[in-house]
Amino acid sequence: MSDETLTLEMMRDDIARAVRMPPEAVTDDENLVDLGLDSLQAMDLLTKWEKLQPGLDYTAFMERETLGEWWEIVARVRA
Amino acid sequence: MSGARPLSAAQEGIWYAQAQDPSNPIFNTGQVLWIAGRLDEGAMRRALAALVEETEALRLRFAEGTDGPVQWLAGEVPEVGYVDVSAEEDPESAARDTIWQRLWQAADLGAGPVGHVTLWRLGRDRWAVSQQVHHLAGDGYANVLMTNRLAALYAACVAGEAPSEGFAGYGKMFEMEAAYAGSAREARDRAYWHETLEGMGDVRSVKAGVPVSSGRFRRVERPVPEALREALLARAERAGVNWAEAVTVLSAAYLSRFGTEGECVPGIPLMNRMGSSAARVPCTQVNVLPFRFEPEEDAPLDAVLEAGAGALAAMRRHGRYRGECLRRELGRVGSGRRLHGPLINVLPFDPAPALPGLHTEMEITGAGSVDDMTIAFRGDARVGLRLQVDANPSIYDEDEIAGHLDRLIDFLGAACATERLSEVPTLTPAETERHLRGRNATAQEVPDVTLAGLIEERMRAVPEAEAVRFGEAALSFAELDRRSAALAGQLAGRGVGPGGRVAVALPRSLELIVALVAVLRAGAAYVPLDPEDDSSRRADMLERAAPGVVLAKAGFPAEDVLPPEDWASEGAAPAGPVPEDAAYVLFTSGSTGRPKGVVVSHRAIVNRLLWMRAAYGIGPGDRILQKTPTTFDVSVWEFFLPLLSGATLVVAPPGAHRDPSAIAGLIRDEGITALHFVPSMLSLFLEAPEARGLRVAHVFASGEALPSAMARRFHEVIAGRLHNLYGPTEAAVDVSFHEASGAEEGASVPIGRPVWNTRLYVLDAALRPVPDGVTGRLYLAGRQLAEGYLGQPELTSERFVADPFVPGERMYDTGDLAFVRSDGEVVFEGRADGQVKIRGVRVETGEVEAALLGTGLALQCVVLARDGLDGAAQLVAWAVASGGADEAAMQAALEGCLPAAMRPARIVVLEALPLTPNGKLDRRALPDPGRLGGATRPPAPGMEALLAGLYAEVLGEAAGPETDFFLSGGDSLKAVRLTRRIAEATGLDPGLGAVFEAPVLADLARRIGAAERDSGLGPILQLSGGRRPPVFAVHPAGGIAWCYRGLAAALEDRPLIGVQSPLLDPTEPVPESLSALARSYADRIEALAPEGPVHVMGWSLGGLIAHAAAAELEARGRETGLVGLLDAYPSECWRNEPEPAPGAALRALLAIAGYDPEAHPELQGKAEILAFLRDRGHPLALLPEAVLDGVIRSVQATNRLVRGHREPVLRAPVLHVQAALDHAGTDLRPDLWRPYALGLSVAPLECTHGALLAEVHSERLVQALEREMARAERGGAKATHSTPIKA
Repeated sequence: MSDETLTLEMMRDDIARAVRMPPEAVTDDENLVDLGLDSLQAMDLLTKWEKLQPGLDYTAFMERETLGEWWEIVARVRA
Repeated sequence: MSGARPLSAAQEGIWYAQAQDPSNPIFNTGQVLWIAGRLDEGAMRRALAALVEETEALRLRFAEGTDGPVQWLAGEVPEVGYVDVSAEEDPESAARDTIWQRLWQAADLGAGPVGHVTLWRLGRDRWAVSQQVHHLAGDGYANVLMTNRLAALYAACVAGEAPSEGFAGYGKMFEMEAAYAGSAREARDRAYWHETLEGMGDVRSVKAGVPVSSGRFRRVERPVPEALREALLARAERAGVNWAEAVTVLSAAYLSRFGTEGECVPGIPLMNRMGSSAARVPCTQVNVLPFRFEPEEDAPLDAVLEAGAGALAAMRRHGRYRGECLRRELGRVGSGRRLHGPLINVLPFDPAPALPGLHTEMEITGAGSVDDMTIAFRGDARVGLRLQVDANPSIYDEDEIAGHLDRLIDFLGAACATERLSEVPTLTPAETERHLRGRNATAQEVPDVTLAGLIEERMRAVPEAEAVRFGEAALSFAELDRRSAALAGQLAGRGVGPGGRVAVALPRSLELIVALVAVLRAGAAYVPLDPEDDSSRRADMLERAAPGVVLAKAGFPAEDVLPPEDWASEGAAPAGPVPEDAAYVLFTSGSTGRPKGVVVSHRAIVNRLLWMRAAYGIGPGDRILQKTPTTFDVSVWEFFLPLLSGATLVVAPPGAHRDPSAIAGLIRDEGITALHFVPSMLSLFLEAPEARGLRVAHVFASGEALPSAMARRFHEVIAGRLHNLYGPTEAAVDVSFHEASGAEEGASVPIGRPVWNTRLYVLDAALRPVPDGVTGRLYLAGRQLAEGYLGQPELTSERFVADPFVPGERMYDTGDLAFVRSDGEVVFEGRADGQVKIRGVRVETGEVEAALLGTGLALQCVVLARDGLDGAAQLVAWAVASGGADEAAMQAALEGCLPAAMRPARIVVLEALPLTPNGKLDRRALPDPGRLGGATRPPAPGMEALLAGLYAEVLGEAAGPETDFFLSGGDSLKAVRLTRRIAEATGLDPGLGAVFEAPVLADLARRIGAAERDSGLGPILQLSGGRRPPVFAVHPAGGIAWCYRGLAAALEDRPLIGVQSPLLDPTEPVPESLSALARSYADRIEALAPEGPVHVMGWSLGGLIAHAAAAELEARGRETGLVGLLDAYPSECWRNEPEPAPGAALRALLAIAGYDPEAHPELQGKAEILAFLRDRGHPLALLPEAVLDGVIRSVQATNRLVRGHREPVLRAPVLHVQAALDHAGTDLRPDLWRPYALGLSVAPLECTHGALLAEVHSERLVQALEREMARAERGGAKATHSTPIKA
């Protein structure tokens, strides 16, 4: 079991790889759908992130549009 | 959400698909959650109640509005079902059966419910929750949302806690749509799609077959093997893509292996929930978009995966743009036009949500429609993956689907292990073995001899037997031996021998046979030329053949001509050829302009002939007809098969091969046991009266595709076996065979299996064998391959390539397209290029084009084959003239260059050839040669004219018979409007499906016309069947002939054909007189009974019409049998009757329905009369308004016509059946007919007028009628006295 915690930058990198774009293109307020992220990829990412941060609600993520909003969910759960 | 709202774009597509077949249940989606453990029933019931309350979509209703379909939320929340099956013997099966049964019932979208949720008690510790939602209300994601929410609600109930936030209201869905519509985002997405799909051709699937929603789908599934899973993960990682992208791109690459026409464009369903408020609302959002990506087979696989993943990412970026909109914008609506082919779907495992303290399993029961095929990967490659292939059962059977599954698994595995897709086979290893080797296991010992040797052997074995017959003349084998040996020696003396060639240009005759055998015995190859063809083409062939000698009539334009009168009659044959020597050189049409000389060796032709002898048991006693021109390689077996098997060769007189009667005569007179036909000639032959009942042991067909219908017809006409053979000149005449039973399905009879020592390969562009049912290019290999093309080594190496499957051997590229059935029989599909068959003769359109250009009178031209009026192919040329030349000048110029068979039937002179936007020739825009100089044909009166008006009304522009509704601006909404207008105008609702399936006006008119006939209102109504000559029954005043039903049922083995009034059709005008009406009926009757005595009858006013029709037929020279007047009285009886008031005409409906109007004086208005009939279930009441009006119109008009009628005189005998219980005290008497019916006989029947056709009397009535009919059919004496009809 890893000691790693889920960070914003990790999430940024993972998203960037999924949409085949450089991490700089994935800003905090860029619309994720505009970048080309789809439901299946989101689920894939969540499955990965859940291992580092349990309790993430899939539908909550699906309703949000940006990385910034996603990060808020993670932060809230952590608290 | 309050009030009715239009459907979303996602819903519209589903609505129209459902509207095409409202009873189709395929749009019900659903799942079942199986639960094991101690369920808290109370909590579950509360949770379910809350779920259905929260899921507003379950309250949806849908209906057609004035401007398109609309939806609204009904007030009441649907009830949760509860079913206890624990008392059943097998509770799970009982629940499952009912769940599936409900799933297979189409939802009532207007009245609801569109879905339901049910709790099933299977036992104390076994439960199930089933949910079913119509796709209009929810998609797969919606179902998942609902189940997950149920779990959350149950958990909260059990724990006594408040549940988390529930679903958003259904209105959220509209918010999302509204936000997107008209946005910059939408514009960007639209631009992306139009650019990406620019120029996309026809989208193909893995199998031909128009995608139509079926009521079911078939699924085959397998877990993806562990090792393959790991390999996929590794390969994806190596290429820098994720596993889902990798399997999608590789599946697309697999699909692209199927077929060659158009483009392979799989559809990818996108969930479309990301980043939207609709993520928390059960509704339908899934969007299927086309994945247009060409996987380069020769590029490094990593690069292909990378490129594919990039294309998928771009698709997702623009995934909000609806596929339905693209379909409309790109004109891909309606029959056979696709936006995409099969679907590829990657989905997570069917998540069974966890319920506290319980074990759960999820089962998806309905996933929506499968129009074609869906490849679905379910799960996660890192954990476990299942591969499912779902397919439309009306297109694919179970074996085919399983085949795709197995193949795809092998394909994925092989792809992971290679560097290039080109190395990945399409077939599984087992299939490859079967296709390449199993089906081609045709090895057969054949003696190493020459054709000359075989003929010599036979000549010595049976010298006295008749070898050749030509009219009255004949040659025995001994004579043939002597004369051919002498000529062969003479040729050898002139330096002709192995390696050399002799041209033979003789007409059919004994000399021709002697010449051919002589050349073979001399060791040279014979080169046949058409003695009638004096074009420059023949001169060119002669020059290139460079023969040592030309055997032809004196005066033939060549050097070294040796005419028959100069042939030696004695002499010894020289040593002769060896098997490797050439036996003949036949010229065939060349695509670049010059004919090609095909060189065939003895070895090759011996294989073919010995196979044929053995396969069909040809031997002494057989008589084979020689009628095919020598320049066509079929003649080779006609000449030589008899000579080497001891059969007799019967040579047809010159010209006889074109005359079906002459051929039939020859077959009879000469006792022919085997002969050949090209299918287009066979078609003519089968229609010749002389062909009926011929007995021929074997008929061989080759040269063109043999239609299955023709094989069926053959067996109706001829007693004998029919064999379909196939093969190009480049492979010693024929390489495959199939016996045509006449029961073949599909358009044409298969070409079958390979002959001895021959291999057939059906390959794709990369020379890989294709799966069964998939079209590929046909290659041939084996002993029968020709040596090559005379003097054209480059062309030879182009068409005769290395056999990749048998090292060291060659194979020949036929250029033909074919597929193989699952039983191994090969089916010919057509050409890959411009080669056509004109009456079986191979013509390269390129050669004709070159000739036309060569005349100097055309600057550009294109030559294509078109079907002529008789269905046989003809050549048509379109040319841009040079220097004002016209068709006549061009045809004259071609006369000297091409033989008649290759000259175009028409040359259409154009200003310029039409081009597509890409600059290529636009074949579809070439003007039809038959319709030049005028507008396209106007709509035919009747249904076509009606539709033309309606099309114009709905589309807003003029329409003609060729107008395609969707290509002229129509869409689904307009199609609904059109069907409504058609129903209003004709009383017939063709159904939305009819417009989708037959959008071209003339086709739709035909379809509606057919339906009209089926509705019982057409001009002809067949009420009974049988083999005896039919009896025609003319309608009474109301125009419909339904009254004869009872009578028809009582007839035995005799068709009763009702003749119905044109006035039933609101667009038909009133005939000008009863005689005119009778004349048109006589036409109809003649068409259906072209020979023999005609039986016609009519009841009431129908009798007068029948009498007039019979007189018309008599005037035309037809013999009448029964002329039956069923209580009918001549027109003078009605002349002074007043015109029936509209009310009376209406009340006549009662009489037509079989009720006495006098007994129901209270029924006066249309509504009352119809209600009366409807209550009694009479079909008349179900007729549409327009038709009832037609019936009333018929009553009035027919009465009027009768009043103005004057009877003609009928000489033939007439039988009057009198309703003896009626007309007492009136002037109505049978003998009123005497002036108009010279042979009148009367048969009284104890009944009233109205009851005459009732069932109770039908047996006696039939007896009387049959007596008359039988007498006429026997040709017996006519009765002239009264015979009462006794019991």
